[in-house]
Amino acid sequence: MKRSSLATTVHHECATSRRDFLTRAGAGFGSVALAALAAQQARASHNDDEEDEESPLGPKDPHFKPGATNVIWLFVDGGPSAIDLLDPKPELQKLAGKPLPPSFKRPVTAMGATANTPLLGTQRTFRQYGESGLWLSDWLPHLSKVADELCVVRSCTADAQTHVGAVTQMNTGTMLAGFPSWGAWCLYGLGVDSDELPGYVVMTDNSADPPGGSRAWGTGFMPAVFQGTRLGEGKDPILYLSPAQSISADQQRRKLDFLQQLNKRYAEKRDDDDRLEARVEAYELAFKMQSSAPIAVNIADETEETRKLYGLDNEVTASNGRNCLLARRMVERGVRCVQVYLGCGSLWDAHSDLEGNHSKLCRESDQPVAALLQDLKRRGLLDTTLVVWAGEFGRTPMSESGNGRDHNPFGFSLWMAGGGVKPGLTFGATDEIGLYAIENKVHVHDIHATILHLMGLDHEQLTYPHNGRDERLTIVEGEVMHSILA
Amino acid sequence: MIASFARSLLAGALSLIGLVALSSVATIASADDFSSGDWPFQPLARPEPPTTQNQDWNRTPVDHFVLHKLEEHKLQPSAEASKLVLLRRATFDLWGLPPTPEQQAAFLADQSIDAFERLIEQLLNSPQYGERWAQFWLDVVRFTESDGFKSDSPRTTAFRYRDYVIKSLNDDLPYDRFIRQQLAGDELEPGNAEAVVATNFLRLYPEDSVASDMRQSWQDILNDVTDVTSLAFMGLTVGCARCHDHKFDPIKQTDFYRLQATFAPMLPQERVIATPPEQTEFDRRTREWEQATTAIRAEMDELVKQHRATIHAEIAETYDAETQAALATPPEQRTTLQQQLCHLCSRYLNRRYGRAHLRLEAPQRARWDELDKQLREFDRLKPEPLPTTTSIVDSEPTAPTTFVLSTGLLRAPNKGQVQSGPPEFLGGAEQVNLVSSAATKAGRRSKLANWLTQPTHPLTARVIVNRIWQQHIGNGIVGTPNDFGAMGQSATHPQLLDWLASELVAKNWQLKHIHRLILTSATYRQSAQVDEEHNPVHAKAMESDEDNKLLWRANRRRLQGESVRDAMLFVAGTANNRMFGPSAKPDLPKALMSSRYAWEPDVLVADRNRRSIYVFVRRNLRYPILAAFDAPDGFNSCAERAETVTVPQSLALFNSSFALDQSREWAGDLLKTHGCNFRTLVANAYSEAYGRQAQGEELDAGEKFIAQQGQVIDKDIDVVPEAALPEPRCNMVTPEQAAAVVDFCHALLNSTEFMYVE
Repeated sequence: MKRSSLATTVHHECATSRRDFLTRAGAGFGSVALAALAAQQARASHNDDEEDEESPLGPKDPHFKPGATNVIWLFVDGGPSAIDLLDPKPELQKLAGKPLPPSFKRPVTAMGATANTPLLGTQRTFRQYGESGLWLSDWLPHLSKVADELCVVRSCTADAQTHVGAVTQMNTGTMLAGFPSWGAWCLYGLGVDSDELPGYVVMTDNSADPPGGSRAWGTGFMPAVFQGTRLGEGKDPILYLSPAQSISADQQRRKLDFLQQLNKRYAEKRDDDDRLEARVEAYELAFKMQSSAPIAVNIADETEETRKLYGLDNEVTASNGRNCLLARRMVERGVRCVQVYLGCGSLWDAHSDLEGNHSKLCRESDQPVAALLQDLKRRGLLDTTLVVWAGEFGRTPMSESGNGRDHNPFGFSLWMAGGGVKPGLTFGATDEIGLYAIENKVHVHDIHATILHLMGLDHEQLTYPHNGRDERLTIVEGEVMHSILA
Repeated sequence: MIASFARSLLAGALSLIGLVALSSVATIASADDFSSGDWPFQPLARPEPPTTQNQDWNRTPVDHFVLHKLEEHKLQPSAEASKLVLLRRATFDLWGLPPTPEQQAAFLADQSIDAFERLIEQLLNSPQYGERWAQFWLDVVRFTESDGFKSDSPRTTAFRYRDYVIKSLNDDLPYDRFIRQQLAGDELEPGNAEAVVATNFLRLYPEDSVASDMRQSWQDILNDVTDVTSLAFMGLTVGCARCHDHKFDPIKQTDFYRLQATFAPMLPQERVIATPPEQTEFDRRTREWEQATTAIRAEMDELVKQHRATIHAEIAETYDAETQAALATPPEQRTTLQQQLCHLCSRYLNRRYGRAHLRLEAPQRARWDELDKQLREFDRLKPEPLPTTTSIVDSEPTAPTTFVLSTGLLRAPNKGQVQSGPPEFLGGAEQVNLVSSAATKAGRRSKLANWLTQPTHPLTARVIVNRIWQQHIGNGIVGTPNDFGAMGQSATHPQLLDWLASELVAKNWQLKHIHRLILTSATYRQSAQVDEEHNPVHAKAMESDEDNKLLWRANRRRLQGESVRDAMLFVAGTANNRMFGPSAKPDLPKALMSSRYAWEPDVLVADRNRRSIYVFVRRNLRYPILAAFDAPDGFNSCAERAETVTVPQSLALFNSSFALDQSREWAGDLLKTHGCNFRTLVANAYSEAYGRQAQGEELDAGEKFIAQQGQVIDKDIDVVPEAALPEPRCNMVTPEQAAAVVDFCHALLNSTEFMYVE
């Protein structure tokens, strides 16, 4: 895909007419938050569809008819090797052990020296699967069964060489800290559609943080109301969800009733101020969430067959299996954006022993990920749920430490499935050895533009005023990958 | 097209209340109504306060401007708020704390005509003023105490800058000097340790100590410092001009880089804070230790020398070419840019050097360990390290050349060099005497600081008085305090802003003078109550100015997170009032303790219970209760806090052990004083939490709740657990009743009235 020129992309045209909008926005942060809260509240209190449509409290309408209403982003943390998973390179096998041919531009890589180290062939076997004949390596036996659902993009590029910058860019559009994450943009644009859970939920397969920590699901300059909520384990998946153990349920409810009596009394005398009524609602919703959120994350009611499908019966796959299963439960309950970290804490970062590293991580994630697609499909949710499998970059064809690979932001792969993307498609290409993207190049901004588009949002229209600029997820760039849309 | 979606979102949010449509607001708030074009960029003039038809209402010149505008729009100001409402408002505004029952009684008893003026004076002259007001400045400069990025290393001396801001405000340090110290304290007041600490302003940028492209990192740092300097002091969003000329303000791309050139020679430096005798003593003892350990250290160095060289080589090759060249250059021959790049690498390199001995073969390793043991035996000779502060200096010998970067890209062909200097459209071009030549680095920051603090500077005074106004009134006169440009909101009362700004300059830039002018005005003393139904004046005002842009009433405001927490500590009687020093590390919820960014809470509860201004500010893990209440993210300059209403806020206040503990402490205090006399207990709780007397039906409701809740607890729980009981215990009431009082207190601390100020 052609990169749009920076110089010609005007990111705040027609701004002079915007004074009044800014006037509203400047004083209206509370109102923005209220809108999101109100959306939750609408779902909580009005089940009558007609009323919902009329109520401005309801979830926001998208810019156009969306391909998907929910996103599950499986974030492959650390940089999975595309040339060992999704992008076979026979030429690389021939050149293995030799230096990078002079016909290739010498890249600046994270570990410097790897620009000069011998090329490393793959030890994987690639085969074509399904009716679409999609290529996958033998590291992905389970995924190969649902190959026809996948849309593989082989020509991704990113700007950052190292993990923090790259993870930050893949989630927020820029390598710098302080910008809202993709999920925050979705909530800002579409509102919240669940009264049991937050609208944007993040899960990790271990207690580590991804590089850069919570900024990957943060809101930067937007109000905190749009941020992702990291689900913890156990009965307290959301911060401060459970009341103290020293308090009985009846006691808690009656205390809340007294509080609400105080709050209503205060609000009734001040009916000019909607924030006060919103506070009453926020407490009701919090109380409701106290009981409904633990149920939403309790997988005890899943059938034996489903548990097996996700690999919950096997300790190797149990952790990712649980998160993938929870992702489906979230989507069922209206959670708009879910992000599941596979190998959280840069575990895919195979600078050495690629075989050992990726074998293990694929064993842990392949079955749960495939199960998620199968399960969504049979429940009729895949049509409206966009599943994205992507890390922050890929890995070089040049070796590192003899048997590992360095970071490769110059050409790497991701796949998408479900909600609005063409199934069974392979889009874009890297060069003969998988170092640079050469055909239908897509940048992180294009990936973001496409995800927003699939959610019914125009990435150029979805702007947020901040310190004199109309900021957007795609900064000043981004083109939708129209060729992969169903 | 742009933002139309966001606009509809906001319109939706507002119209759902059924009070206002966007269009009715637009009639008041259109740009032409209030000011035109580039007014904030014109030199500061001093307008005369206008005459008003109603002469009786005005108390300070501020009121003339406000009332004049109201009269123009045929509106009337609201009645004055009651004494107790004013006391609570002013105490929260200046201290961030609720007024005590004693303060309430004293103020009610004071019948003198200037009782409120004297209250304001008393509040302004207490140390709590600086502790409250430092926060708005720390938000603007995006103060934190850690690096950000993956390691997010703590900055152990950053608290000195926070303390500097508190002290400066309490001392009413003139604002022009406050600016000069932060931008160039090292040059302008070299003998003043506080001024050196002040330069930390330039060292608050996020930094990735393990980045590989350090040249890009340095450029990111310079961009960040340029942005924040411009936002903080001039309310100008120069960030757009990093890539191209500003589309709507007269800021050229060259202006961005001229400003950036001011900082091109800067280098962070850790400086010792010590008196000459302390330093002499330290040097003497260090020499003694060095002499005693020369041989041991030499042998240790020799052992790891080779490995250090290997480590250096391994790391060096991961850096960009310019940084590699800088590292390869002998330190004394490094250019300024090379010093800056080496500075960025130094922390990681040193950390890795320190592990060189881990690579030794077994026999050498044994020898090294033996030597290390011997070395430690001399630790008793070694003096304690002297306290240090981070600071900024200009590096020798020459300033790096600053280029105008095409679309902001470091490595694209650039658009030529620029010299340092202020933006041309603000008269920068004519101020030749302020502009440094390209080659000499000396005094660029001093020159910028002096230029910014000229009495006639169009923006400096306007921007700061607007910030103060915004904090007190709820909306800035310019509603976007970080953006005085065309993209920002137009001013509601430009003449008033100019008058206040000229007052600031005329009164030696002393900020307390501005506080007084605002707080003692009739404008500030108005009630926030709206009664559309019975008051036709309000009905009319709500129709034409629902957003209160013209200030026909006071704004009701939610407390900032810091005040919510402080007020809870204060009411509960658990607040630790110790000022200054290393930050407090409060308890974290268990779920966060597994995060790599979690901190070990202070051992003593009293240390955790210091005021929120002293709570550790970590970029990658904000203290969750403050974060829930819209604390800024520490990466962006924040001119105006969001005031959201969210579910996580309710959960944090209703379920956190912090809120529960404060309720138990407060209940313990109340029970100690009032025993089983629940009616007076409820009355006192109201007074402490809300700053007012409870009404009869409120006393009834409180008493009834305690009685009924006691029965519920009695029914549900066999033995009331310790964790639900007041602290200290009270044996005049049953455990069930005591636990019910805790619940009563907990409800009050969660209530809307507790965290809103009228």
